[in-house]
Amino acid sequence: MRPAWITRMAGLAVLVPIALLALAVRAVSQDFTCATPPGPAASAGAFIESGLPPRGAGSALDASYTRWFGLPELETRAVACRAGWRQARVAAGFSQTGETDLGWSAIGLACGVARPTGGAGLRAVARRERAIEPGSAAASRLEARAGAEVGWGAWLEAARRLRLWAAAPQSWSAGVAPPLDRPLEVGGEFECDGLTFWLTRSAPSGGAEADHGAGVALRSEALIAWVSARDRPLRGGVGLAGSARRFFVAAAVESHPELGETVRLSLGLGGAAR
Amino acid sequence: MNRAPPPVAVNAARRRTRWGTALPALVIVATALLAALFSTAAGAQTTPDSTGYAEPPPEATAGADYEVESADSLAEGAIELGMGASGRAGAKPRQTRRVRFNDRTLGGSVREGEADPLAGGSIETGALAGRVGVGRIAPRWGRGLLLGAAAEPWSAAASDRGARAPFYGRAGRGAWYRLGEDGAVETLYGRFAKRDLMGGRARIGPFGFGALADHAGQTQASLSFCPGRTEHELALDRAGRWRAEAMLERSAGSRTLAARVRGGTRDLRSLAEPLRSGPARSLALELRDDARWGRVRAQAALWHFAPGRGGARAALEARRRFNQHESVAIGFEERHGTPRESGRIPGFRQGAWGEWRGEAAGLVLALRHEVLGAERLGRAAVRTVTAAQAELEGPAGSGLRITHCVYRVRSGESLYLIETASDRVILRAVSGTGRRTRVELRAPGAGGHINAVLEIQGVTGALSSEATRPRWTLDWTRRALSR
Repeated sequence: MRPAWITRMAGLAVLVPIALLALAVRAVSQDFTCATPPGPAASAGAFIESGLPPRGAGSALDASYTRWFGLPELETRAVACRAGWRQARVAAGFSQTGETDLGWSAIGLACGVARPTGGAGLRAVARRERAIEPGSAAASRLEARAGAEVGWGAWLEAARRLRLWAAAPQSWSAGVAPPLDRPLEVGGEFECDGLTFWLTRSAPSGGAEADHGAGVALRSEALIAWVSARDRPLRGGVGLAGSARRFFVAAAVESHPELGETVRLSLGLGGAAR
Repeated sequence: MNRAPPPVAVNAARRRTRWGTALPALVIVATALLAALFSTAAGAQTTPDSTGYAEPPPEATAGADYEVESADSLAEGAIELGMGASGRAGAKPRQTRRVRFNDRTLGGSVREGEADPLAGGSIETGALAGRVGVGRIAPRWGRGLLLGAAAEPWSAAASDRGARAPFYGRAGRGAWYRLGEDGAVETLYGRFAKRDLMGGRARIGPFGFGALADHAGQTQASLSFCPGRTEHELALDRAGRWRAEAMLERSAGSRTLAARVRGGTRDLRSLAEPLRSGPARSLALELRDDARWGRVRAQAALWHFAPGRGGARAALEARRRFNQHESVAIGFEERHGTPRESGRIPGFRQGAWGEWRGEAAGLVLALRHEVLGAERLGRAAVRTVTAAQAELEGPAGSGLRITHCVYRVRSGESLYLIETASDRVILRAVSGTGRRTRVELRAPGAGGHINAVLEIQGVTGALSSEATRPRWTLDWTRRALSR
């Protein structure tokens, strides 16, 4: 670990108030959520979740576990893989959320193109309820027991060290409504001496106002630590990711003042948190 | 339920009334000052329309889609064929067909299609040492007091009137004849605003004289004076009603200062385009800098239709260009009163918008956000729009473009989203809260180009209705040289 990194880490620890750690982040992703900062990421799950293709080619496999709002009966387990050849990127994944009698399974696919300075991708997720009561509406009609959504994402290097992105993960949906309404999210990140600052804005959804997010990540060669905050209501989170050789592991905790904490764990092969 | 106007709107109405009574003196003083200020001249230019808030012209039905033909020129000897179909899921498709051609002596276009607002034909050819044509007519005389007025009180020139306009508008239908370069002599006969009109205009040097008359004996005349960049027009009728407008421009390097002042009788309404008669009195200033790095434009305008009915607008827009595709733009706008002669008075509005567009190796990403509020700093938003667009260039001229926007429009307000089709521009009216995705795919095919568009609208979980059903368009266009 370099001395400069230690200095920045110490500075960050001073700058980040303890109160921020008590704040929480709302879940802005769902079935293939990963412990990563927002924006384009190297993990396969993040590609399926947002439609933002990873910059690098190559293959990756990752698994993630999420406990939503501290509820043991509302857990998401997902596994995803991705591959890239030249500019093409593809990813596929499978996820299960909840318990057998009150949960759903999902499969996700994503494809896109990426270059060092930009990328765009399409993503699709299909869900099906795990328990279908015989004789119910779900048993007789497909649209009552299954749902699908299609969306897209794109990112671009707007300037040196400045990256902007837009993700509309639910441009079209059919059947059973998705568990979370995910409107258009626009974001940007700026890198400076190992620090990455980001801002995001999610468009108004339904009757809710737009919400905004901000965060900072500190990165070294093998570690990334980040803190984040969102508004409406004000909440925050922290995360830590590390990689060694081709393996990576990441964890993030986000809390909501009313709904409780959401914990995410990810581990994988071939990818990274960013 | 009607809401009481906010205090700011009431104060603005009071200010409008005071300004309305003092306007004649203001117009005279302003005219004298401007005449003294501007001593140089060069052709009055059409300033590119702002990329700010899109509004249809006053003759369009409020709250409905508006379509206008793009002024895409055809090379000499070329012929263009187009076929299309469009519809909604679960509804019968609508077919459209079009032909355009341009030969040395003969040119024209024919469009047909069920419920196509642009259906119709026009043809023109050389005759009697000039050009004669039948079909769509959208001329512009002088400052447009009788023919070819701008749609908004603050606009310097109409974007859909006149030979060099970026869009082919439709003021009327009929026949016309032009003689000489740029129409030194022009006559027309046609149906405008449910009225048969005939008219003519002649230009000698900087002077122009025109007249319009209908079968009922109503006559209007236009006198214009256009020495270079200044442009003045006086319009009057047999009852002695009149309007006059002067436009002056002065440039220094990349900067241009333009001013317009209009005065006259409120009751004078254009026979041809009564809904575009505009305000009886107005004053507008514009400063723009078209530098190599980008453009800055500042506008201020005041106008007055009638007592208690007028408005004001101030706008600032700056665009920084990085290269052909990359740019950043921001804009600010404040409005008072109303830009329309009739209808609801919106009152105070203030808003801002920002747009970024970047490009990297065949991928274009654009982001835009705009807000317009009924209170200062865009608060009490009456409409908010966030949009993102990604465009991928493929081989052989193919490409994929996806546009997604999320909007929220307060009840009673209108929002128009701009859609560009292969042969037209559509201002799509939306209301309420929703999101919209438009996927456009273009590819070479059958000797031409195929454009396929899919539009998906609605809110997740919203009940299905006709408005939320996917809309699709398929269009094929081919251009070829006829010889």
